[in-house]
Amino acid sequence: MTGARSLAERLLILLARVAIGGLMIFTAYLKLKPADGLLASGPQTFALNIKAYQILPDHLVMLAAFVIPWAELLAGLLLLLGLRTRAASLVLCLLLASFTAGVVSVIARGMNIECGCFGSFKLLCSGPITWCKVGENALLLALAAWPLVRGPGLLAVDSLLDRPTQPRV
Amino acid sequence: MNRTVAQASLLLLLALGLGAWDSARRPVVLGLGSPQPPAAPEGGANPAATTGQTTGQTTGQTTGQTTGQTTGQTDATPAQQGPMVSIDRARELVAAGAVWIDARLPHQFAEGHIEGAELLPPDAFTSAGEASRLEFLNYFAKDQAFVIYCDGGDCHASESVAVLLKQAGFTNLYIMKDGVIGWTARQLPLVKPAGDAK
Repeated sequence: MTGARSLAERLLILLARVAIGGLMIFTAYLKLKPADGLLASGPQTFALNIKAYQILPDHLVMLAAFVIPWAELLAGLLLLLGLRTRAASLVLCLLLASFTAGVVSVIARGMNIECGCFGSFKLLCSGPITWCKVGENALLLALAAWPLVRGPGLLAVDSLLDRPTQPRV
Repeated sequence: MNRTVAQASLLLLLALGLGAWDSARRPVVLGLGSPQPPAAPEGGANPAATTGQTTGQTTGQTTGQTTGQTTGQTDATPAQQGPMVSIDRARELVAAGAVWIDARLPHQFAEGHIEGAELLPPDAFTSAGEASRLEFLNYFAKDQAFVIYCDGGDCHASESVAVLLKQAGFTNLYIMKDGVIGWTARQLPLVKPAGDAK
């Protein structure tokens, strides 16, 4: 892994961090929010969404319904701050890669379900899962992987922590 | 790189801990399990009748059949016979006052649905933007019988909607397990929104 050299690239990485970090915090909020009247809680609807994929057994569905949003929230916050940026980026890449595998599996089985990725909020694709969703995830994965490969970019707490100490004269 | 992997593992462990704590605090439900017995009917007219008269969206079929009735007229509750019902049993329940709920995606509903069905996909329970779709539920008593369907076969949407309705307090929920696939295989009619009976 190498570090970004030019100011332009470091600025673009900052923008990628803000975009992906902000998106992950938003989706985590949707998946963790409490119930409100007839509206179900975030974990409840997310668990039913995961179950609809018919990949995981029920006990893992219940675990994933809580662990995934918390991982998105923590990693999103760290990515936004530029703190432990590469680790946060790695976690988000793993999450996005597993989501993409689930989406491809749904397409391969010819199932007619919605993603449930961002609640009822749609990013680039709407309606039932199609290859559009794979493309959307690939784009997000590329953005999330950028800080992992090239470093945290501008305005990152990591840059302050990793600043070399002044040599003594 | 090793340091990055170690930090990422710690992050995932922290998420695991927080997730476990959160799931203990507010457990989720994945299936109907053992349905609760229906609440005693609230005296007077069934609110379903009001819905039909005020919104015009609940079809005449449902409205006409539910006016002045309570859901006690569905002779067996889910607790007595289980929530999964056949097409014939579902039709009997609706004839006795139950309301159809179509849990499929909106475009599927638009292509054709069972006459009198209300569109209520699981998504409607997820965000305030969709909450208006839930408003019709406020007109029903909590013991109103609903027959929920999706495609049939391996579709999960009807069970998801049943779980979410149960959490919202509704107790008299049935799932037509053969769904629209079984319905059309029996050459029973579907209608499009514009062709709904008034």
